[in-house]
Amino acid sequence: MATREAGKKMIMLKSPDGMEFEVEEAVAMESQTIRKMIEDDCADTAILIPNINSKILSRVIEYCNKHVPTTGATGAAASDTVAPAALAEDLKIWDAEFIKVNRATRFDLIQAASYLNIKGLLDLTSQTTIDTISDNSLEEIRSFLSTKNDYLPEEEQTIRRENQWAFQ
Amino acid sequence: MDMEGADVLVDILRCLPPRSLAAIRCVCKAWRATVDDHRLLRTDILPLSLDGVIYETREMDDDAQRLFARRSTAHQITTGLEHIDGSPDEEVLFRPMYDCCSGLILLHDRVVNPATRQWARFPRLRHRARAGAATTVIADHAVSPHYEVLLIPCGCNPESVGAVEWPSSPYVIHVFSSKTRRWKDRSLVRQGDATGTAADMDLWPVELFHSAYWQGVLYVRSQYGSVLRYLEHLQ
Repeated sequence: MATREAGKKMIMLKSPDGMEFEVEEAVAMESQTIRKMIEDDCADTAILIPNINSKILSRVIEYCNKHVPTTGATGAAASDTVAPAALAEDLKIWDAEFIKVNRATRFDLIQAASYLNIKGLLDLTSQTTIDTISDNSLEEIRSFLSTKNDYLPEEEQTIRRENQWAFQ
Repeated sequence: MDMEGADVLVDILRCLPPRSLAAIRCVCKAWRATVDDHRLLRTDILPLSLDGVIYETREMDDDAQRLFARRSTAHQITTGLEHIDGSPDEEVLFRPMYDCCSGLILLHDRVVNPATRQWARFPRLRHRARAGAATTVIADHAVSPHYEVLLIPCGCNPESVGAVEWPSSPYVIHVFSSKTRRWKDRSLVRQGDATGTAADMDLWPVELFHSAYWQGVLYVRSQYGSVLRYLEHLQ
């Protein structure tokens, strides 16, 4: 149920594995998908977030908590004294730590960010993936994607030859 | 979770350079299918193979470009660069190829791909910027499907004093990107010492301009045989 605590509207988010997360409305509205549900008055009861398990959902909420605009939030009085540039720099460092997760978690976060339409989180997870792939060799990409090479040696040779320029 | 076919992943792959996409095709069958099904690798501009050489003759006829190629590929490649859009431009007839890179040929107002017979005009820069500047085109299809046309000032700026260091730093060049379809100024910062003064640059006429682009670096021949090296990252 949407409840009120300390003057802030709270929203209940439920993961398919039965966990419930009570978050401030402003935090939940970092997700454009949830924002739309709230604005369309579809959020009177708890919102079920399909496909996103509690482990990933709690990480997503952690991200939104950090990135929600600080105006009016408790404990955010610091924004009056800290310069915006320093705040942005602080967020960048926080993001870099946040994204230090294994490949499976990162891909789950990408899909969650996409479904929940959280632009900042999608940009962060996508860009990290693009950087990882473009900076690494074929063997490193294969291990990053943790996929098994299912080509026969001669098949792989043929495919390599199709784009020989990429391996020079 | 299987990611290979997810729409969100395809969006991410779209941002990768062709070199990485070619590597991903080799990872496993499922990833190759993702790259191929969504045509992420632009096979219309790839693979990079040599099908022929276009060269200019110094004869005074109106078809000065000649092709040297195997008979099997020669019929696909056009040397009629000035007629490619069907409206011969008087100026083009007397202005030869300015530069070439990765199969693209730069004419005075357009970039032509003689193998695909495609061409694109770029807007002209104001006259002052063009005067005393050399034009060059850079492209690397393994990195980006886009190309850039660079306008590099060669002679010394008439407004500056002759004693100004050469190359000056910052050194401003004009860049046209096929991605944004706009000209923009780009400032290059010199690393290392100056090789002379701007006055010396009078000895470096535009006609003697030569440049080459290779793996992200643009090499420009300077006066006295020295070579300027620019790091150019195609967007």
